[in-house]
Amino acid sequence: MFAITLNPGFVCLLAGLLVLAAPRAFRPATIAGAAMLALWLMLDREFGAAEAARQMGLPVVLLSLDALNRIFGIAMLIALIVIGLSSGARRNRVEDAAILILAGSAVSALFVGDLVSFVAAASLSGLTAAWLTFCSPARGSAQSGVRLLIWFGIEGLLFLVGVSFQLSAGAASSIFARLDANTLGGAFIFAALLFRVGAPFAHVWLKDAIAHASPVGAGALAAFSTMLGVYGLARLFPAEPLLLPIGMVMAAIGAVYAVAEDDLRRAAASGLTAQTGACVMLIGIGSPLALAAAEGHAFTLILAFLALNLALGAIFGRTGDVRASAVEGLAKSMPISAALLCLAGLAATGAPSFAAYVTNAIALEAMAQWQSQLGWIALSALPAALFVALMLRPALIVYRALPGASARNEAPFPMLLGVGLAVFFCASIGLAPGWLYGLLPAAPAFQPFEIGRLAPYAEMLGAVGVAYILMRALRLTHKEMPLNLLDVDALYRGPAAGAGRWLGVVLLRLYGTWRAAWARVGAYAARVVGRLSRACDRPYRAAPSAAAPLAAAAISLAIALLMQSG
Amino acid sequence: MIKAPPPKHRGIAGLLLLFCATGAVAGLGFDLSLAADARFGGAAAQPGARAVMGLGVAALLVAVAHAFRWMLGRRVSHGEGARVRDNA
Repeated sequence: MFAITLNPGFVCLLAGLLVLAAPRAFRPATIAGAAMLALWLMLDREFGAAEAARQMGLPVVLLSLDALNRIFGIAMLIALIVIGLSSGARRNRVEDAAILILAGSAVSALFVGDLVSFVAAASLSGLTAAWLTFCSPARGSAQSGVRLLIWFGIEGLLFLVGVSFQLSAGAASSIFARLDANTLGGAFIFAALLFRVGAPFAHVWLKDAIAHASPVGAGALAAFSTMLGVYGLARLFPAEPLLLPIGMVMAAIGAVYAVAEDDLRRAAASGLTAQTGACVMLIGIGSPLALAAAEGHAFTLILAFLALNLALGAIFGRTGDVRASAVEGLAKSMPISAALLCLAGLAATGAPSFAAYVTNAIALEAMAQWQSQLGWIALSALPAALFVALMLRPALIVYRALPGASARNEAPFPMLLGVGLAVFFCASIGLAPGWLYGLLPAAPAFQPFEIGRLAPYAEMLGAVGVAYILMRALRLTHKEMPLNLLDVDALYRGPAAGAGRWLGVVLLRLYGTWRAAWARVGAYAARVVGRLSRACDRPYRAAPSAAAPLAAAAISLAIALLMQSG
Repeated sequence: MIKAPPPKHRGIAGLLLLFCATGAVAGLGFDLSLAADARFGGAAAQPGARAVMGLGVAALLVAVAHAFRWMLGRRVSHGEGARVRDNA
């Protein structure tokens, strides 16, 4: 008999259907309430797998709780509570439903215990991410949603092929445990997860989606999309050596684009890619401390980048544009939003006293234990680069002194509340990291604020800050002007898209020609058949000429009879 | 009568510079005082090296951002990213 086990993610999925019918006043409470109920369901349960059902000979484990998925689940559900509070600022029931289903499918994927259910939930979250982008009021969101659908379509295809190969080895291969990337099935699933985390060449989908999402939708995409990929890699491919260089390249690409982008939401998405790269590097190392650091870092990144994207969303919702070149001097009209943006930038950077600092400290220790010098340098330099990109540069822009007074046009209170709450979580975990360490699978006895760790970190952030501010004062940094930076997507949005359009026009013309020719042939055939039909179906008419064949036949018969008788 | 000068408009650069310089000086001081500790990371982990790394990161970022914007930047008109309908 098939018994449904209540995976915490299912609560959010059901609430997603409920908000479609709920009045506006109840929707934020429904979102936050669903997250709290799911959190309670998760924390109320002991570690272990629920009873497995069998479907078509395969085990279906809808709930399997352990330390790894619990820490991701807590972060995602706290993020959903924050998003629920921020949702009071708008009225878009479809987007509320999309956010709940995105969160529900991501949380469901965390807690399932078999490969098929994981792929199903992960694919649903991909589709819902595209739906969320379609819901956005931003210009170009529909095209961005289509591109996202294509990305997740490819990812789903890779998942499907990978799972098929895995299952071909037997039903036992459906268990959600470590896979080998050197097998065919494992390689396809590995590739699909790299798509999800935004590995090099696939990193463009995240910034494309976040730049076109709604103010709250961008936060949801940051919290529930790439981190599911990090979880999948931590679960299925720990200690995979290929992940170390992939993570390094992600960190480098993300940091550079975060500094150079004009659109601050694209810069924030690039910053998330860079920090996700740090998690990927740590998973590639695979030691217990490195895995704990990756999981803790993912936890803190979910909250920090939620805060940053909500802060940018608050500005976007008011001004309609968050290009660096368009928000100069914004602090005059939106002082609270500007202050929260700076705090969120500090949280995303991993500044001391924020949560990402304490997990970055474990990450550096893990790199040191593994004797990975290049990885250690990359992880050390990353906060400095992101400090410039996500905190200093936005702060210098929004607090730029411009003459003239501006009328106050602050973001709606629910948005400010959401950002403030997310920043509060980051700061409280950063100041008292003990409970986060207690949640980690390999709880490390660690003192992040030891002077030997804190001093070099502060020294580096301070030095990079001084250098950047002086270079900016000397006008050595780039001038803020409205521009788009080309990336890999320029290939398929530029030449490839042009070639596709040209091919489409040619194919349409060929199709039109073929249709016209076929219509002509059909008309001719119809005329011939009609003529024949008319000839065969002509009604009998008594005419003098019609008697001649009859007379000839009668005469022939008479001659034959005479010859017979003679 | 002397016309009053226009009010000064100050940004946040000075405050940020002070904040960063304090962090750098305090960090460097403690880092140098702990110079005897054995550290992993080669030259990048030696006392004071993180400050040099920070300067290098800043210079590298500025240079790479210039290069990226010069090579890959395409000018757009203001408001291209603006929303077109308000359902907020």
